[in-house]
Amino acid sequence: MKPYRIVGQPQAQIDARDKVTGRARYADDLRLPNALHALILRSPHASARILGIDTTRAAALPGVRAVLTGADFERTFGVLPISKDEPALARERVRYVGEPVAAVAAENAEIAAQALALIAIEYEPTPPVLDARHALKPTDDPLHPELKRGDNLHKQVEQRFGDPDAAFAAAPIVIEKRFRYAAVTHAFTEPHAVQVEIDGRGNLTVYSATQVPHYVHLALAEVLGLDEHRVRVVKPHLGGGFGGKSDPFPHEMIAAKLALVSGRNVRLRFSREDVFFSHHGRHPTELTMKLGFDPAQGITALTGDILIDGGAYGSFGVVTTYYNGVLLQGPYPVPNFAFRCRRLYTNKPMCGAMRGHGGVNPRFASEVLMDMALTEAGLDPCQARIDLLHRENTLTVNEFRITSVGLKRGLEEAMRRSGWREKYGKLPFGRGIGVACGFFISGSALPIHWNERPGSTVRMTLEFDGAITVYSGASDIGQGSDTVLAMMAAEVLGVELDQVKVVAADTRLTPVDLGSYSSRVTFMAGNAARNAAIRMRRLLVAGACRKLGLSEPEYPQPQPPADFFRQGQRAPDFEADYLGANPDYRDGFELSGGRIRHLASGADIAWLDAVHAAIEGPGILQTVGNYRAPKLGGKFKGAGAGLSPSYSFTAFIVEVTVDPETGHVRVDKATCAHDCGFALNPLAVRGQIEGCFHMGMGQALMEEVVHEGGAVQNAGFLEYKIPSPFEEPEIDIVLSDGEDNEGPFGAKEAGEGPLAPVIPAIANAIFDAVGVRLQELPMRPDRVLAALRKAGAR
Amino acid sequence: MNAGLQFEFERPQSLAELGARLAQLSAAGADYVLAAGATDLMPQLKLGLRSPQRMISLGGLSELRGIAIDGDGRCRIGALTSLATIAADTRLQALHPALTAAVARVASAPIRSRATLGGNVLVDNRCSFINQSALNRAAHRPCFKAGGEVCHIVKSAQRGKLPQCQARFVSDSVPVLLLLDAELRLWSPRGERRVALAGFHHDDGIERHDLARDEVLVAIELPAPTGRRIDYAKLAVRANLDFPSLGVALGLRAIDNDAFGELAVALTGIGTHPGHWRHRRADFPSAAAMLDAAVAAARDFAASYDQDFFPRDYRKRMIEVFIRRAAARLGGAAWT
Repeated sequence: MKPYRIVGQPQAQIDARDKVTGRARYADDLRLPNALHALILRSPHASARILGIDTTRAAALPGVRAVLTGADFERTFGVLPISKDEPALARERVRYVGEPVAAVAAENAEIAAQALALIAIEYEPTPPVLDARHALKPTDDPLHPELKRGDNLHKQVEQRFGDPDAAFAAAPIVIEKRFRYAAVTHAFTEPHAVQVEIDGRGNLTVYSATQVPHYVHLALAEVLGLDEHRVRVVKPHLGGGFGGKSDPFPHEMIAAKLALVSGRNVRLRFSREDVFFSHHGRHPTELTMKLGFDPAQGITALTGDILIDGGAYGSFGVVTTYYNGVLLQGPYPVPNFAFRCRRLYTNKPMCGAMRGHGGVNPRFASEVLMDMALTEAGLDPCQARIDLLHRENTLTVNEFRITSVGLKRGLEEAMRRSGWREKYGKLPFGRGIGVACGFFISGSALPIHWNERPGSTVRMTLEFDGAITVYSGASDIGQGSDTVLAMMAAEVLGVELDQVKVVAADTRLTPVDLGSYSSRVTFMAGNAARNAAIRMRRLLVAGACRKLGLSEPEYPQPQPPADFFRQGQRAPDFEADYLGANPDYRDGFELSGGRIRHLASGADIAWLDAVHAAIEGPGILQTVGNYRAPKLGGKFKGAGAGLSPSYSFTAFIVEVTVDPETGHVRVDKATCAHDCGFALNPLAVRGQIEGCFHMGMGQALMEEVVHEGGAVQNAGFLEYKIPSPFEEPEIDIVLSDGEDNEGPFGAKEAGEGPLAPVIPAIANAIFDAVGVRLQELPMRPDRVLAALRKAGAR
Repeated sequence: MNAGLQFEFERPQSLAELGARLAQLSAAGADYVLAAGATDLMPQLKLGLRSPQRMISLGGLSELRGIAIDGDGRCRIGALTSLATIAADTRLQALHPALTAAVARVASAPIRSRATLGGNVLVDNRCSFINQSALNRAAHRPCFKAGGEVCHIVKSAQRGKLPQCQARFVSDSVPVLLLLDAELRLWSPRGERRVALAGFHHDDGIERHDLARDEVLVAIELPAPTGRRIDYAKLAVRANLDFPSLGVALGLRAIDNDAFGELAVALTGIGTHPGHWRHRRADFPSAAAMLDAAVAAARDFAASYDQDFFPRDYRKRMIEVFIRRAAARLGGAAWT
């Protein structure tokens, strides 16, 4: 066991009590004085030209303070600088049912609703493009004429490494299959909400349910034409994101503009149906994947041709287009690799980033193909996967730097605990066990907006009363990032958790952090917080030394560990801040129990007396910690996609019962092995893994956004089927006890990676149970039954 | 903010008071809606499917609440009795375990604590095109049930032809109540009447049943147990929350010492109204033939359309699976 008091111990989240007692305030709970109510008028057409909008009657209604249309916004926006294609309010044309077309702010919600009804819009409906195949066809009326294309292609990515054709020709086993995936959505608990406070100088404070306050800040300034310092974005408590709150949104632009126009505070909240219109969920996908396998070598080649249906706008879609291919570069080596991925614009709510971004759908295909190949080769699908995992400190063929790989031990333990050897291939017809693996990034190494600043910065203060405050721009979206930052500060500074307060996600008060997406917070903001805390500890130790009459310790120049893995000849930038995965602080002091003790002499002093000594000069103790990713990656086009300072690895072993007469699949048990390096807060890690399982099981078995003529037909939780607690099986979790050289205390991500293997593990268990391979999601009972009948007919 | 949620609200304390009020409102041609647990009604109001000027809560009518069982096992269940109360009633469970089981599969625990048995008998028919927001309904053309001129389910449907609307009947309790020979006690200012549940529902998703505009379902009455053993099974992708994609109640009763004397079947979730058949062993050469006939009748009845999570062909196929499985549970392997 490592000598830690706080990190590595299961800790309830620091805001857990506030949340379960209703004390926590979410974006819509705030009560800004005298706020106007804003409502959005949405398009009933999937595709139409806007011939005219008449707002005069709405504007004349007593109590209406502002009315907006697309004409009020000059600039479009988007989270990625390369696809700023979304208007705050539709101009000239609407591109999906539910698209915002006009907005009002009024003294109360009733007046706002009346005003919406008074807005007259003349539409000329045009034929909608409703699926990706249709969108490939030539057209003289594409959704985005500004791209000057004769079709609705948004982005095409092709990469090729090695010689897949030769490898397929030489491979003893080659399998090629087609897979289809329905649209799924995040289904977070808290609908989007935004409130805007305007001061007498025209400065805006925007309280929004967002994962990315910094990007919202930038987009608001740009779209509204304001100096960036006039905008402040604050994320209050947030009820789940999963990628569905990781873009700047039209409603944020609209509410802010309404505040500017009216000079009043503005409140805007979404219904659940509005959330389905906003969407940004996982792309409906159709793909063909081909696997070459040699029992003596493992995977010899993997290729994919992938079509993803992006909906009306870009969002994160360019990244998704890359991720659908490049995230196939783990968890096993793939020496010959090629893919083409095309993202199409269609007249539906836009898709974007969703938990496991871009890596989930192709993983279903690759791990089903892997299972088929291993079965054909007569290998044990679990043991063979263990044997084939990436080796530590290696480069993939597309030059991802694989550092720590702790899954081998974990999966061996999961195999034992699940009784794999006693069960696989041996259960009676109708019962089965299956396994699948996956890997995921621990944060994207490259920023979305190119600049040389650190991706995460944390400021820390310590005041006369011993109060420690961590200022971080990272968004706690329910995953517990505030808690983990506080835990690291408490660990390093030798105090209890409740002595640390976290001020987070307030772009005026907290330094820039790029946000909560791509599983970056623990790794990146965590490293920044840990470094800020270590610097603070040095100030404190200096104070103690002064009081105790000792000379200050000399801190050696930080050195990376012997097995630190440099990519090529590039010097990792972060070495300047490197303090080790397993820091001993190198100061010769012990901080605990309210005392600071010099280990060599045994002299000690009250912790607070050391604070008072240290604070005499500056009046407040303040430090800053940073994280910037090392320079990574190859030199080819698109080499930056999927680069991460570290990768997590996960395996799921799942047991199912399949009813051969109804096709109903029940998941009886799941065993997870997850390599998140060192688990900073094992309780939160387990929560994330259980959440990933539930979400993966939903996509595997029942979740699907249903469209009819472009309209979402199941925009609510009765008809959009999320598994209920009754469907949740027992989940046994094995956490690796490894550590990553570069993660804070050795930690890697845990919030997204565990999702992807859930789906193929269920599919592979269905095969073990009843001998059929499902290649379309969700694996609804009718599809399982159809596959069984087809197999029976053969 | 939503037009459907702005209404006058009143809560009479007795049937007499309610009667006087209904007579008044009827005479004035007033627009009102009666509300019991309102678990079906409130979503409709929020979606703007109905926007009554007045809501009359039945919640004050304590005389409509409670379960009475006499010495012969006859039951009277007040229409306002919550599904949670019914599911937890041990006397009722001993007498009619299938009713307990069916009621316990309705929606979720929080909803069952408010929802009433009367409400479940009268629950509105559902369709993927009607149970939608105003915006969604505007994205399609308004259908018959929304006062429009089309049916999105049966594109060839024309106004005036029955069934006008294919919205699905989705009560979980009614199939079991049918096999229990339930009767409904209906009350209005004009008097009280008693009708059999069998035949009460119509083959139409709009004009759904025989309840008059000013009538109130006050009680569901069950005769003394007839010895029919009943099984209820529900097709839904989740173990709670969902309306039945298909619900099958099967009843088996001995006649003249023949354990297979009568086979009764009732369906929900698959048509505009509950399907209900009784087959007598005496009319068939074998029990197996009787079961085959029951399957055939149920399959013929089910004009299922794609308006549910499960596709129509699958739901139709499941009718047979569900009937035969229930038959096996009730009659074992002796059906051959």
